[in-house]
Amino acid sequence: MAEMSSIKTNIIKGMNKVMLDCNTATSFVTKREYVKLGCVDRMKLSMHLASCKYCRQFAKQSITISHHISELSKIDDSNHRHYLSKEQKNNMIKEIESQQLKS
Amino acid sequence: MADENKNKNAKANPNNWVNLHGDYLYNYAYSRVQSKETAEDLVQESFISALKSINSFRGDSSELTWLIAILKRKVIDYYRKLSRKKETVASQFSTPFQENGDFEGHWILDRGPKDWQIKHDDPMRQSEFIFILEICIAALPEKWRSVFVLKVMEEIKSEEVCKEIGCSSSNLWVILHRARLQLRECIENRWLK
Repeated sequence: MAEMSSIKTNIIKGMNKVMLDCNTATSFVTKREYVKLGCVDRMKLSMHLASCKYCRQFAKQSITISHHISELSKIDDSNHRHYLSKEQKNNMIKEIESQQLKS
Repeated sequence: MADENKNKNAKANPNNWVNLHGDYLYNYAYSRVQSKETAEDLVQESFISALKSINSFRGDSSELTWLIAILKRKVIDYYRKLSRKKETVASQFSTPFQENGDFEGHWILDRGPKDWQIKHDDPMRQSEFIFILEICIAALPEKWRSVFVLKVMEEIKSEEVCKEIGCSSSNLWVILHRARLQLRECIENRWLK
């Protein structure tokens, strides 16, 4: 019994050398958004994604998040999400005027 | 984008800045700092800085583009200061991966990503997603948020981000990775509620 479990542990250890764990796989998913992964890393990642539904889901969610981040970063002049109040604007105008007077 | 001042002889006109560009700049700042007060301050400071360097405005770009560049610098400065504050980031991160055993480095099962069932044709849910995204970005530890906003939203090069924030390049990837993991989990917890 003990022998069996040590064989099992060795197999897992061996597998881990070839296969990525989820921590590393997800870090590759994040990294590949910004830089091109090396050939070996790309292969390891696609092998991992083929066999891990959680990391596949993570990769899918990453695309969704990035898409919405770029939506958030883009400012649409015709459709603002927030507005300065009249009072805030007036304060800013006053400040600009007083700075102009100083100089 | 406003395209007034397209001609080369355009002069900056500070009296119209607030009414013409105030809301645009405010939205830009808000999306990057996730705080109304800070966003307002940064816009105000940008106007003052713009006034001081008004002679450097040559009309090569539109007035708005010029003001955005100044605001962008303010955002970077804000995060540079924020990230220099002492913070115990490590203790705030709870890894979603198993830390020992045969499955070390694999997802802790009930924290693995679930199906978000996003439908891209539902605008209500879209704006709800962006709303949640903003809350979750704001909830990131300050140093991570600094790296995240500058690298991901402002699309500044890694070396420059590191120069501003004070981190090594490998450190930057670790931060981005952890920020992604935390952001993902935060979104999932709110989105599937």
